[in-house]
Amino acid sequence: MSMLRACYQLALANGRVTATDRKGRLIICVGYLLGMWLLYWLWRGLYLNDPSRAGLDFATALTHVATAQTLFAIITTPADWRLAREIRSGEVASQLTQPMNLALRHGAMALGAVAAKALYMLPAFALFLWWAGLNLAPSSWPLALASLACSFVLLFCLAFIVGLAGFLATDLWGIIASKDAVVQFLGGALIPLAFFPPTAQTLLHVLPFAHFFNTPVAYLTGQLHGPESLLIQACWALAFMLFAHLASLQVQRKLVVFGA
Amino acid sequence: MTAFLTAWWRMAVADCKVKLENRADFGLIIAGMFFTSAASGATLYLMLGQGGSIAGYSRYELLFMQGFMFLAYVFESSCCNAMYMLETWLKNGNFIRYYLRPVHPLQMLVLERFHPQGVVVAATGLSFCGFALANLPGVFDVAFVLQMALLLPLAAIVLNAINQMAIASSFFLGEYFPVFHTVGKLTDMSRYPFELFPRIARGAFMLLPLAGIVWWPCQVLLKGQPLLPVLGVMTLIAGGSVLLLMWLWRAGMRRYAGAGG
Repeated sequence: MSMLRACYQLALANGRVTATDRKGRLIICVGYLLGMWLLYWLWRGLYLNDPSRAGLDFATALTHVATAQTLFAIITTPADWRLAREIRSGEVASQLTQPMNLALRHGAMALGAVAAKALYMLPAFALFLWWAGLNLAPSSWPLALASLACSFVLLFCLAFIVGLAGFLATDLWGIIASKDAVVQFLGGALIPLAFFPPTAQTLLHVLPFAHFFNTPVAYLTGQLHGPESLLIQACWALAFMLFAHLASLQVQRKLVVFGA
Repeated sequence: MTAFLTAWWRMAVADCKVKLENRADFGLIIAGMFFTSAASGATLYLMLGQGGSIAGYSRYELLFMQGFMFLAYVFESSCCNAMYMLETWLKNGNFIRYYLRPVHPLQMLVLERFHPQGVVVAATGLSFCGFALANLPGVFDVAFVLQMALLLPLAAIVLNAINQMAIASSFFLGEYFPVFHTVGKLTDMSRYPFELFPRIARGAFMLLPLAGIVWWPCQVLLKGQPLLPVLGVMTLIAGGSVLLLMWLWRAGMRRYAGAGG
């Protein structure tokens, strides 16, 4: 119970920090809307001569990409950068002396940041959907929300594992950029997976990649109805949690800190 | 100028030695560049599908535009990496030294850090452009090389000035991320044909110096527009961007108050 309370306090505090800068929030929302507006014209140009690409019409494809890009903006957290910074500065030593699991601590902070970002970005997303004449039509909101939660767990665990690389490497830009590029591209955030060759699509759905963005977006847009994809996604989320825990234990054996 | 170049060369050599000493880190940087560029190229390839064209631009012309963007980014990637530290220096007072050194603050920024990742960015850009040109018969010749040699440095100046202006927003807002993130969305779109966008957006892109990054140069390199008028426009855009950047830094430095360092 006290652990839950600690997580809540951490999430709340980090959410407040994320939402503090009003001018920054406004500029980010304006930038987001501008990006979405340009995305609309890009996809419109793409569909001008061919109204059905990869079996999707313009509205379905745009709803998919816009929702996936919004999810990427909201549920991707800088947990990797934060952890790597704490490792380099030695601050991680004092974190490890606290009666709380390192992954849980970072998870709670990431959740707070995600909630704060959702608060100010979802209205902008709704505004864009209204302007573009699009709408989300999930056949089941509970399945869609559960899929979103699993997606957050997958993305956070991956960021946490990548952040742990800070114990082994000094410059994490390369590995974080690789992770973001692979997750966005193979996860269906840059382009719907329907544009991929059929074999690649099957493979991506069995592997964790499709479950980063494509599965939650498919539930939100009503392309998925049954719980099968959610079950696969939940299995991957559990596997990622286990792997993050084991990786954390493994690299902590190498930890040597001076100062902090 | 000789003193500046000597200092820059010494710093670049020392930085290269340090950065290349840790080969695993450099390998990861190469992997980062590979995956980001491969993802953006593959997205474009899949997006275009069987049709293979958008707004009158073929798949290979679009790949060339992406490659040109990478090449324009080389200068910033290798020589201006320190700009991301501006916000931290403003906050911890380290920026005070910019008032004390006998060089222009923007030159000073170039003297702070050199990153060999620029070589990787250049290789990526050349690969994109080379692959595209191999599939665009009749485009590549001696005149093309000369035109590229003239237009690319101007495009690099425009891109760098835009990004440095976005970073300089930390003088006024305290943090650079919101403006840099927003500007990043715009510069990211500038590698696509402007013909896609409605008239108002096209006009805005022309007025803002965004058109000088990829669109204007590619009108000469790919669409056969005469070089001289475009070179004139590009020179104006690049000059204007630099003047605007210098004005913004001057205003920022007048506004800044810090202690310590």
